Amino acid sequence: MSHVIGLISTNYTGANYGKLIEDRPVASIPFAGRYRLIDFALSSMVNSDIDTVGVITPANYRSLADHLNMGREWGLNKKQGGMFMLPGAVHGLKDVSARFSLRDVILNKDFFHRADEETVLFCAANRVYNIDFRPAIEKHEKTGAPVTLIYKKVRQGEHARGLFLKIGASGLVSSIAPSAKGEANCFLDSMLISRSMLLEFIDCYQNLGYIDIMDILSANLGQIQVNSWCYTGYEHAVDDAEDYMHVSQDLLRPEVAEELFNEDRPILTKTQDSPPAKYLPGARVKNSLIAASCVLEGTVENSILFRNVTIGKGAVVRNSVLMQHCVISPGAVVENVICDKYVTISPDVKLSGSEKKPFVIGKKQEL
Amino acid sequence: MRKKKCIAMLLAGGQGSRLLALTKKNAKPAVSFGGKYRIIDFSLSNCVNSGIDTVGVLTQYKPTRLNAYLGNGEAWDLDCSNGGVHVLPPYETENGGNWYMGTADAIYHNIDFIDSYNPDYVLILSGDHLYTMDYSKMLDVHKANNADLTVSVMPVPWEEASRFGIMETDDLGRIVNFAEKPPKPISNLASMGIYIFTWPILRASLLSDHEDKESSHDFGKNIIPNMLSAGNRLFTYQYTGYWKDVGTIDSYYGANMELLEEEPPLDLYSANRIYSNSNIYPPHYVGPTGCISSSILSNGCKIFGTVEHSVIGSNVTIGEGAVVKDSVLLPDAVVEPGAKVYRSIIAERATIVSGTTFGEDKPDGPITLLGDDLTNA
Repeated sequence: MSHVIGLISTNYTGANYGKLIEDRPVASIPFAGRYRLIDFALSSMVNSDIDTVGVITPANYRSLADHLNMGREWGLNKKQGGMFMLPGAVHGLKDVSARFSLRDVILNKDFFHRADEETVLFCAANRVYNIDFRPAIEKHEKTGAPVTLIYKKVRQGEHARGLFLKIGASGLVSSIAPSAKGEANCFLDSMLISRSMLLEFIDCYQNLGYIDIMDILSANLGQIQVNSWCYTGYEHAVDDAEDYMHVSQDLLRPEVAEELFNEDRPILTKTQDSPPAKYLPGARVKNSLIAASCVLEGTVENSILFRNVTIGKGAVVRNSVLMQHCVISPGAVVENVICDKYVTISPDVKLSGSEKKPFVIGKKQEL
Repeated sequence: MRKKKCIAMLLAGGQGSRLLALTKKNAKPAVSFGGKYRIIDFSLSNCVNSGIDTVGVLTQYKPTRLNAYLGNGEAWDLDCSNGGVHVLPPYETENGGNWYMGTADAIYHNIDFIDSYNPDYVLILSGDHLYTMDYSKMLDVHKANNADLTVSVMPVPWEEASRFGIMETDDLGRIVNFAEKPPKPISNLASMGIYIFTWPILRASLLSDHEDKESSHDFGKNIIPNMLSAGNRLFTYQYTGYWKDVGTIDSYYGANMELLEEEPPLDLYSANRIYSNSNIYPPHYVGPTGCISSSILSNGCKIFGTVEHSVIGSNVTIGEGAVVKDSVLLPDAVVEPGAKVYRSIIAERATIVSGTTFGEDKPDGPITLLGDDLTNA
């Protein structure tokens, strides 16, 4: 039995996602040809021996609940532990970008009272990684600090988003800031926090309404020992369409794919039982990820195709992501484009975004 | 257990020895097919898609992987609280134990299992056929005929008819004559090895067959002729879709190659899905040097070489400069850089060593086979 319960927060959004979150939470944005963003945090937890996971849901949780299916593919539909869908607070006009809203935790305080695990691994669902959390848990338990923040080092000029940590020689966090210059420690929206501390927060801030746990920690670094654990593997946040395209292109680098899709710690997801992909004469596919049941008769380069995408004769797809059931008709050309599900591009239509700014086409559009 | 209208008994114990190395470590129903499937997926998916939620799977020959593959039946939605998949191996009793001596004997030894669901009808299936079929339509015909037994049949070419159980029927489809593998067939209506029995009738027939010391306890050789001569109501159900018994390496290879046709006779892309218990792999990756045409590829593959007119199973790796042509690669096979594979079946986890050539690039040449876990050098 693990001493840790997992908690994934999905009840937040961001202004920059645009059409990608028109009718879905960030956590269920389709990614990497067959996954959704939440799969990375959730599978990392399960592969780190965590067998109880609470998922704090947003109001529009339909696609998320459909995808998670009460944890079936993650082995979380069980009697001891399992997956718990926890209702999130409705934020209204409040700051919906708060990833660790205490209001969501307060609303589900019974879940935390009932658990007997000592530690909660609290993660957001917007980051792509395959983290073995076990060494972090081990360090957290050994040091005895109530909180351990998980971070990675970023070099000068390296793109990173989120909160940044100042860390002393002892590994203790001395400040938490929204930006940093030069070499920095980027917080990976993942923390180990003792359940008793979480319950204490619930008592103290009961009436304060909407506050992010990160703000509580930041304001109380003098009183609360906040430790840190450095992750050194591949990680990237998906905070807007540019990030989405950037990380998608990263997947085409074999060393990144190998690390993310580690066979010993697989990223799990809902299975769809689609037949294999079919290459017809005339297909020319290079440096791309192609999901099951695609039918290919055209050219595909540097792209990610989700299941059931059709590429017509003579069609060309470059540097693009096509989500499931997209149809690129014969002779059409798309470049630097993200097509959401069920998009149809008519014959001989040419569409392109730029490498920096991909062109995002919303669900079910016909162009 | 609560009563069921119809349950299925799936015969999955045979060796399938004519599949040679493919069944050396594996029962035939567990042999991989079509990239991501195993042969038993078709019968199990047909059951679920026909509304049958209780399936007894009779195992005998090398069942380990088949058992592991079936698991609790979850992959086929057969993990029900009342029903689901039940693996039924031979067992010992106070009078000793025996292997299943024949298809009918296997069912005889599981009469108690069937009785526990108290079904009106029992559907007998083989776990080694490729087809998609709605058994509920066959059951409707069985009921409408008030039949004791309905045999699913299909017309086969006359020259092949003597390989099958051949039915002669009257105008209403009632069987008047039945001959198992007749040298001179009088009809070309062949049994597909799919039977619906009215359970009390089959039960009685199994009990009397068990007492018959001369019997080989086989449905085709014993049960059906016995019921016919006893005057039971035996009918045929005419099936016209795709059905294939992949009994030999040639037919197994041929059935895989048919999937590459523009409109394959076995439609994997139809609305009724074929479910399988597959590992969750990422989409397949085609590298900058990969070149694929006229092929099907499954998830998890990494392709850096040339693939032409081939069926590529899950998690296969094909190295740079390698060529795979007119071949069937089963899950986890590896073709190392520079290796060449022609007109071959490369079984699960087998490896073609870098720089070597396996098989012959001749359109009608023999099919070369490399068994599970083997290396060609």
